[in-house]
Amino acid sequence: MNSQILFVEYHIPVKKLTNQELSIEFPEWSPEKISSKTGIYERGICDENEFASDLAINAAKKLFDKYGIEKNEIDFLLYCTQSPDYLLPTTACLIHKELGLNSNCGALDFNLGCSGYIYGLSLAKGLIGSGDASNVLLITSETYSKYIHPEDKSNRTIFGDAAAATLICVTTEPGLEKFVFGTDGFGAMNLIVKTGGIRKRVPSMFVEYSEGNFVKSDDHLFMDGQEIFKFTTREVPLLVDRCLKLNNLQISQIDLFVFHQANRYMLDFIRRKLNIPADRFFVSLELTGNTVSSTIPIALTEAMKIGKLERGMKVMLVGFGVGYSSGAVVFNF
Amino acid sequence: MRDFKKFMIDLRLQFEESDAQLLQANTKFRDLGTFDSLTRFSIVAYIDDEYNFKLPDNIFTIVQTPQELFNFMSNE
Repeated sequence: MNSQILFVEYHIPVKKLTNQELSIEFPEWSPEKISSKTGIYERGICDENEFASDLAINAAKKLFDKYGIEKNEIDFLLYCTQSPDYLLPTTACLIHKELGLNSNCGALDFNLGCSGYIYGLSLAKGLIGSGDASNVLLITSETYSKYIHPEDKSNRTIFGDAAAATLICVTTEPGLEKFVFGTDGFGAMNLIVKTGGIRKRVPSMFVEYSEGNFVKSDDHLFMDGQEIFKFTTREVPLLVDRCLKLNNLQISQIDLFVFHQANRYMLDFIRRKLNIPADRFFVSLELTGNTVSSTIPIALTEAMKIGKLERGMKVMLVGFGVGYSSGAVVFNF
Repeated sequence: MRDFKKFMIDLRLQFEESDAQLLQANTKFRDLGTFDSLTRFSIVAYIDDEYNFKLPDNIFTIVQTPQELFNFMSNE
């Protein structure tokens, strides 16, 4: 049995953080400099009482309304987040309740970041391929803004909050092709929130300032930008090559590449390294920022809106980041 | 022996166009407005790829200009 991405929709918080606002707080960075480097002009930021599960529910409701989806026909909910409501129960059960899904529907959370969408698609393909499900709702949702220290100008510039909902269904046509994956736990400490889990449940209150007034705190999101850049520029081209080989394809046979939208500068670097023509490499993060596991489905939605992605196209999706974790897939839209 | 002219062309590719035009052998990196962490990361990654040379993470505390960077790579 084949599986296909049928519909995608997303939701971003109403509240926005603009480059102008960031520049007032951090005058050493002009709004123009921020946008020219990152490709980002504004990002959605959750209110204090707005959470990833709220964004997820909104994204799913938008998907249902827009495409007239009969929610009783969904037989599995996959929820990708690193911002769960509670340590337990799994947030997917709470979202399941709020959406009023069928009680025979399976639901689970999985904890991944920027590679999460690829892994979610793979899980959905597995569930459909085994015959255990026919209609899988994959929701990705993240609120890194709640993990970022208010003085952390680098991460506040890059990350935005958002959720995306994708319906993956059984189909007779070839949809999702073969996946490749990558994992390297040696990079775990380079992108991390150290406290709040079971190993270090209580805040440590450790805060350190480095050259250029960059802040590092165990209780907030820490990203070693240089190490992440090295990992990405080293591993992503290899991942793309593996995925192409596994699917017996060449770069010239892919109609559209949609990578995790980390930031424009890094995407440009990888695109040039892989010799992918700019017109087949979709970039869309101007009004959302890096929304972690939702960047790829948001980009897919935007690509469809402007006619850059059409039925019948062959598309490669590539996700990479925290973990380190990475994955790629080719699909026929 | 590396070619300094090619090295300069490669280096300029890592900068925004406005600063790429200003970059000369003895230009101080820090004098360029777009020389920030992302540019530093991309220079380190590009030199690793193109020249198979691993620069130390603190390279830009050791060298200030393209000429000094080239010399550092030649002397290692």
